[in-house]
Amino acid sequence: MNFEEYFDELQKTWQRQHASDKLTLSADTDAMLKEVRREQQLWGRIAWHGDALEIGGGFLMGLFFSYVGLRRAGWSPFSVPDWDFLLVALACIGVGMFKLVDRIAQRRKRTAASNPLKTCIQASLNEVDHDIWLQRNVFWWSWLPFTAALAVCFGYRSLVFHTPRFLAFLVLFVIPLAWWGNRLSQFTTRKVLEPRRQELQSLLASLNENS
Amino acid sequence: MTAQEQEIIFRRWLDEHIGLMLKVVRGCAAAPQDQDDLFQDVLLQIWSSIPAFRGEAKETTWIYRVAFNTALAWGRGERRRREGHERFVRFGESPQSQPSHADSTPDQEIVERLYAAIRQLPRVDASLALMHLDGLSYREMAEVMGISENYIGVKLNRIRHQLAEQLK
Repeated sequence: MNFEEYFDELQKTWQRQHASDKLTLSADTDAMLKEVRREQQLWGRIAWHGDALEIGGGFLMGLFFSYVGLRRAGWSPFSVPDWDFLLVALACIGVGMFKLVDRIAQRRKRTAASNPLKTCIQASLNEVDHDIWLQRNVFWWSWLPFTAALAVCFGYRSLVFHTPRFLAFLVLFVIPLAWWGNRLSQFTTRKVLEPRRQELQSLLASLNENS
Repeated sequence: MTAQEQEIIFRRWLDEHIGLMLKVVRGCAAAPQDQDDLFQDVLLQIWSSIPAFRGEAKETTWIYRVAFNTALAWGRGERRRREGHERFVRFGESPQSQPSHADSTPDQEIVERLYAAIRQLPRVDASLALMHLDGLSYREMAEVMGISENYIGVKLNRIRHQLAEQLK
C-alpha cells in the first residue's frame, strides 16, 4: 500500500470513528450556556478593571493634583492657583488621555475571531508590534512627563520653602518608582511580547505562499 | 440579534457541531486539563461570535475559523486553569474521558495515534490536517485559512506524507 492509499485509509477510519462518536455524544447544554455567560461576564469585568486602572488612574491623579492646586488659590478666580500642582495634573491627564485614545484606536483595529486565520494572525501581530512599541517607549509617553512635572513641582517648592524635603522625596521615591516601572515594561517586552511576536511571525510565514 | 436568538443558535450549534469543536480541541491540546480549558475558550468565542454571523459563510466554516483562531491564541501562554469551575461537559467521548488502551477498538487506537501525530505538527499544519481528515474541500479550507487553494494543496501533500509516515 503506498502513502496515498494508506492516508486514504486513515481518513476513512477517522470519519468512521467520529461518525460513531456522534451517536454517543451528548452535552449538558444548559450548564454550558450558564458557564459561557459566567465566563463572558468575568472577562468583561477583567477588561473593565484593566482599563479603569490604567486610564482612570491617570485621570484620578490629575483630578487630585488639580484639586490641590486650586484649593491653595482659595477657589477664587482672581487669585493665582499653584501652577506647579496644575502642571503635575496636566501631565497625569495627558498620560491618561494618551492611553485612552490609544485604547480606542486599537479596539477599532481589532479583528473578530470569525475572520480567516491569516487575517487574525496578521491583526494579532500588528497588535503585538504596537504593544512592544508602547512598552519600549513607556518612558517617553508616561514616566518622563509625570516625573518631569513632579521634578519641576518639587524643585520649585524646595526653593520657595527652603527645605530639601521635596527634593528628597523626588530622589528617594519618585525617580526609583519611574526607573522600576520602566524596567518592568522592558522585562515584559522581553519575556512575553517578543516571544509572542516571534511565534506569530512564524505562523504567518507558514501561511505565506512565497516563503 | 436578541439574546434569545443568540441562545437558540448557540444551542443548535452545540447540538450539531460539538463534535467539530471537540476535534479541534483534541487536535491542539494533549492534557485533559488543557483540553478542558481550551474547550471552554472555544465555547466562549463561539458564543461571542454569533451576533456577527450573517449566514454568508457556512456554519462549519465559521465554527472552524473561530475554533482555530481561539486555539492559536490560547497557545500563547495565556493558558489559565479554571480552578473550581463547574465541570459541565459530559460527552460520550470527552476530552476528559478518552478511551483507555484496554477497552479501545482498533479504529479508536488509530484515531488516538492520529491525534497524537497531529499535535506534533506545526499549528497551521495541524489545523489543515484536521479539516482534511474531516473531508473539507480545498475551497472550504482556503476560506477558513485565508490562503489560496493551490497553496492548500501543496501543504496537504506534505502533511499527508508526514502523518502516514508517523502512523505506519
